[in-house]
Amino acid sequence: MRTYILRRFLQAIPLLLAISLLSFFIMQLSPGSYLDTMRLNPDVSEELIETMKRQYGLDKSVPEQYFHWLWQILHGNLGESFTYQVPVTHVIKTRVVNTMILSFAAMVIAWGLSIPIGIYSATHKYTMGDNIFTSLAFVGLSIPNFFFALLLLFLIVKFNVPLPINGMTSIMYDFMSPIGKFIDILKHLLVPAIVLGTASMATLTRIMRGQMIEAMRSDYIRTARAKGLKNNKVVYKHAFRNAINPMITIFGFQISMLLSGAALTETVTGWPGLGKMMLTAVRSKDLYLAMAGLMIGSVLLIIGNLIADILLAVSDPRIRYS
Amino acid sequence: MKKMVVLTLVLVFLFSFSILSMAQEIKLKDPWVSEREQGQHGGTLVSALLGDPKTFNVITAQETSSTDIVEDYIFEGLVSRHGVTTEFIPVLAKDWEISEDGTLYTFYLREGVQWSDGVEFTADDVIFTFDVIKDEDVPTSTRDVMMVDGEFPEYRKVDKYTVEIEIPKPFAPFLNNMTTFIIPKHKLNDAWQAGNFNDMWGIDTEPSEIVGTGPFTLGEYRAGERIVMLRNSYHWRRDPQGRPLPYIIRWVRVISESQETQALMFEKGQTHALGVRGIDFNRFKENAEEGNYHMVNGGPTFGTNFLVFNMNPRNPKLEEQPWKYEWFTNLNFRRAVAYAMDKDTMIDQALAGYGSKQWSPVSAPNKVYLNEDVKKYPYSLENARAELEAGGFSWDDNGNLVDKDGRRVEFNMVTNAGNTQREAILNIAATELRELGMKINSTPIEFNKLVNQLMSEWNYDTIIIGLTGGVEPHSGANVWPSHGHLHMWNPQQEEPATEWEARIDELFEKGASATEIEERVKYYDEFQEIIANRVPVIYTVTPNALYAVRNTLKNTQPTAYGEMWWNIYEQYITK
Repeated sequence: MRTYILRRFLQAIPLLLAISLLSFFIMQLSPGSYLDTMRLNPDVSEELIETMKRQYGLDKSVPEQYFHWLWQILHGNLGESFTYQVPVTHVIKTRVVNTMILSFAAMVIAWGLSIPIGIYSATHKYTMGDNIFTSLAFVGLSIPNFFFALLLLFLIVKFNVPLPINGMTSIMYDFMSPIGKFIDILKHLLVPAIVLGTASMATLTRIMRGQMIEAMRSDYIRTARAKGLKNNKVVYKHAFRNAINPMITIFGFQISMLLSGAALTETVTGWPGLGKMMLTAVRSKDLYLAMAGLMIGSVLLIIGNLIADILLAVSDPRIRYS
Repeated sequence: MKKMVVLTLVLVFLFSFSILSMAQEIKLKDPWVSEREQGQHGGTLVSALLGDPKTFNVITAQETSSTDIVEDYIFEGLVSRHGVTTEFIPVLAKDWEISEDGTLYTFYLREGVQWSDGVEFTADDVIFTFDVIKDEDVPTSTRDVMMVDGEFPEYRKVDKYTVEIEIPKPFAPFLNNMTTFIIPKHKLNDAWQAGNFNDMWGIDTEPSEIVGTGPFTLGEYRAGERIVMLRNSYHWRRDPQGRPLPYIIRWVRVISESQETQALMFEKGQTHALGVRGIDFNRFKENAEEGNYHMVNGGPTFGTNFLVFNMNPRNPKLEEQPWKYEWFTNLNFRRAVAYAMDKDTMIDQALAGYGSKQWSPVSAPNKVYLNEDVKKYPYSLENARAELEAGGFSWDDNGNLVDKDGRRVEFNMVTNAGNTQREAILNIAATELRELGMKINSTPIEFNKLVNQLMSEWNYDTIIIGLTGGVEPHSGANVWPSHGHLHMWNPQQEEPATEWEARIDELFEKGASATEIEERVKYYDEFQEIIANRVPVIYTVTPNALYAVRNTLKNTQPTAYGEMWWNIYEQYITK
């Protein structure tokens, strides 16, 4: 197992290199550069644009820029953001953590609810409960996140619910006790986490239900029942263990989406995460900031897949790595 | 025990005495006194911001999300413009003189003004600021703006409170440049000497390090969440009773990138004021009494939306389609398009009824320079058809517009994707032109692509875009004179292509060197007439500045120019 993990890590290196190469060049291929917005400013002269181009190293050829960036990365330096004029690490540090808090909370909600609901729906196929959950799942699937978030916020204002509608901490945060601070963040977390959580919940519930139904139909379940095992044991010990495998694979993918899946929800609820900043960075071609975001996303994808594979081995004795 | 108390009292007395004597060294001789009603000191003001600042360095700050934080609230210029009248008002300079020949400017600084860390503000800070701006390694657009005749002005300290600036020739827009924000020498000189000025005061700076003369200081910045600004107790403005302003102690500016959420925050009573969108105006108005606020319509803003024709003979596409150049340089054709702009519908649909029509290249809130008597093109397809006929165009049997060679009139019209206002204007304009029998391919495209087409590739047909303006018409010197790189329809000409462009070049020269404001107004009036007459760009509609202001916030006077907070120092909150 250890050699397997080591091998996976070694494999990741050329993979990351290829990803960085591709994203760097694709970003440079699309027309325009970071300085375009400034060129439309009547106060900015051509000379100033040229000076800034030199200062940002944008006058060099694309391969040259890439290798310069790569060299910096190898020294643990993510470069400087054009927009902020400070190291990229400083810009994204707290935001990465914030986005992770939000995504993690959303994952807890999504997985914590969808697995039991999926099992319930599968074991109570076509009953009232199953039908209600199925309809809810489709509503959840089809309602856009930003709209759902706005709807919740609107209801909070309309019915004067004592919940905050923007940000991650309230204005008096700095004067609160540690427990008060924690509760304050939880309150702010509620709306965005529910919005994001229910969005992926719909899909997860459907997959879990399908897998369970499939498993419940198999011969070994009939054997187990024939053997006179208790229903609970049949469902949780036999069917569930077999039905969960594809869910674990999906879980791996979800880890990679920890950083990227929340942009619109973050904007609407004012959660200070990476969301809109990364979108803006890519669109305005703030090269090193955007690259940092892409690379962190890729690393998470690789790690997520690795975790999923390891979890598979743990949960399914038929899978062994050597 | 008693001894201790006495000792402590003596110490306290001595200590406070020493503070007093320290304070006496710097005495504010020239305070500014508010003429609005006396307010109550104290309170926390809460408002919303649309985005995060990118830097707190006021010299290198480029876009509004940064300048909205630092300019006027933390840093101040020698002079400024009044939020309502847009006329020059003294700020850090209590007065100024311009020599007879218009080349020597003398600024008399307010004596005894202190930076927010207590250090006195003097002529040295002004000189230092100019030194930094002059430094070619500092990326700031102010340097170019300050240049007169390609030269940076000469500046010198006369005494501790007097600064002289000499420019090579009379240049009226120069006073406008003195709105440039002054930075503290004692905080930044070392970094500048070491060549690190550009890295100073980024968003990773400790807030207390950032020192200005404005009514507020930076208290705290939480990325993506809020900026807390604190009252600058050393500020030089006074209330009618002679106590230091501002009234407000804490100003919390919540960052929310969604305008919907900002509106909800205001409705929930969390913020004191809100910039309202046209579509929300009526809804807010209905609930005003209940929510204890009132609505303000500040009139048209400085934002513009216009259509520009490509009249550039260097357009690479002309090899295939040389006729497009002929259409766009045909004055009747351009006027026909101008007549086809249905501005009422644009205001109704793109701006939800709260907008104004624009006819002149000078924005409507510019009270000093706006010429209201320029040629207007009220919506009329009749007039448009008449212009087209006069220009040699006709219609074929299917009602399609054809030029004198029988070629169908077909061209592209683009705008930047994501700007819903402009997209709506684009659609309305295209629909009307189709009514005239033209074939219009209208699409929103990516902003970077659009800028490239407009600025370097020159291969577009028509573009709907906007530029922001200021009060000083000379800030359009890169746009209107024919050599300007933003002279969009035919940029960077060696020699003016047409007589009227030559005349505009001349008017901008004269307008810049005339010193009397009346004389300048005359030149810029004529420039506005020429643009309206020749319509190289067709102005459409401008959104209005709309505000909802909580009734507990007093002494407010929101305008399109000064926006909500131009007189923040005299605004106060009732309990």
